[in-house]
Amino acid sequence: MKNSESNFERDLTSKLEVLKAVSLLPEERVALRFKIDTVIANTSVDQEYSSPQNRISLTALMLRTFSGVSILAATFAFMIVSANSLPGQQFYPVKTGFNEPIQRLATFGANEKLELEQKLIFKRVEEAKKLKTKGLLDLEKAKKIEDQINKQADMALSIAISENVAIDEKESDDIVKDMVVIAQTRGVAAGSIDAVRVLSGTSLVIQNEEVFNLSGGSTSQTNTSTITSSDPSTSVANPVAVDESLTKVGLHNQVKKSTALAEAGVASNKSIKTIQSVSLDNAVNSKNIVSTIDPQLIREAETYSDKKLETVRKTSILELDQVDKDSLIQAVEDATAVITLTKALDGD
Amino acid sequence: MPNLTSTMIEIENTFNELYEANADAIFRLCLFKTSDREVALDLSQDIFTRTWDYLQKGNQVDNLRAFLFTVARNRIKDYYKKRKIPTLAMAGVKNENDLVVSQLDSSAVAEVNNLLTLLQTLPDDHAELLQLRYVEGFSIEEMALLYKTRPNTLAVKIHRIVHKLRDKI
Repeated sequence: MKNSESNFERDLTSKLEVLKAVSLLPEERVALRFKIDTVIANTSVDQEYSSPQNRISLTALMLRTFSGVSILAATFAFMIVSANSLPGQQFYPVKTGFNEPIQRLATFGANEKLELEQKLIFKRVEEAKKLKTKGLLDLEKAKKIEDQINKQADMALSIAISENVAIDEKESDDIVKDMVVIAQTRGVAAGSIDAVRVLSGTSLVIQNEEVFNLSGGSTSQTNTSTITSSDPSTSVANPVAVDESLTKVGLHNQVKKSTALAEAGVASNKSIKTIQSVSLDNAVNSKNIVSTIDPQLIREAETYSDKKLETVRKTSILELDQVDKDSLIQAVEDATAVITLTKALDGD
Repeated sequence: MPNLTSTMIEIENTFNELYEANADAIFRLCLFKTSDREVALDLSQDIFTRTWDYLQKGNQVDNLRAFLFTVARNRIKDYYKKRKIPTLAMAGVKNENDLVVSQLDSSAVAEVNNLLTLLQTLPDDHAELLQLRYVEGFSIEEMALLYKTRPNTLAVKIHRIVHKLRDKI
């Protein structure tokens, strides 16, 4: 009996040893050590040990941490450490100043760069949502995130526009595509800023229309668009005359598509909230960002989206000769802003 | 583990040895308890920095490894307390990404998950005792320091847990 028990114990030992295979990845190990060393370097030293030669310099620690480790592993460590960092955290500047520029460098083509920038701009919203769930999204941080979104959009748009201008001849379809991607980028930026404002509980603004004061009531306000807006109709200069009507047809089709997507997004948002409000399963709501936001703010954001969508809808049903190119471009931008806002508040 | 002496450099060297020898074990303990790789990494960082904080103040520690794991156990308990969820003996892993499949082949992943499932059938700290004893290689004496109990008492307890496990398999 004793023999079989000790055999079992030996078997158990060798079985459980398999669990040792679960361990830190090399880059995780380096990144973890770096984080610990950074804290150590910043720790105030007890009086007894505070002689200058006993203090550990951050440079020395970094050299020690990374000695014997390849530059590649160190780079991966930095990227991993910073990838999930949030505004206000130590490695956040690495994320926006190192990781993301590398992604931009690796992307070619004006429209592809703008499409990437749309994703990077929306990442700011995701960061704001994470801060919100941790209770860390104050007005100051929200403003910094908005400024970052503006900065990214401005930079990306000016590069894309200058690249488009540099091309001598373009087909009508390509010109429409350029205009659409530019309008969509502006729309993503505007919608993202709206989302960050809802998350932080500040007011939403519609150009030349009412201010939706989220504490109740409304007052009129003139144009307060925060996105640098060069005239969209001249953003794709083309020395060769392009058939204006072809461009308008292409834009008009895009407006219809964007309107349909925006309507679907708004409708989907409303049905998710209906399901959640009647759901008895707390797990449905447990990680729901919407449940952390004042319901009054959500209602006002919905009203804001509906109002914006109404304008877009009206543009989409006009005949071509009743609408100008700039209005079509604006409609694409506004529809994209609504899509972005509803996606941000869809409960994920 | 050597006792501490009074210079910062010696403290640093001691801490380095502690980290190199135990980083994986601490991470594993946190991962199996929380089932979340990111959380496990954060907790690991916190555990080591708290340990450093204690050491750099000149505090004497007889058994550093036991001390480190005491900090770890307390930190994990705090984690559960803050979230107001019951402590799990062994949370297991949520999905294969937490084990990082690239680290292990699929049969190893399956075996690890089977083991964790088995350990989850044990109550409270029993699975933790088995992990420390048979995975991390703690001696009975070290574990007695960790759990503030007598080696004999602990040895008997572990023996009973192993016996129960045998009945389950």
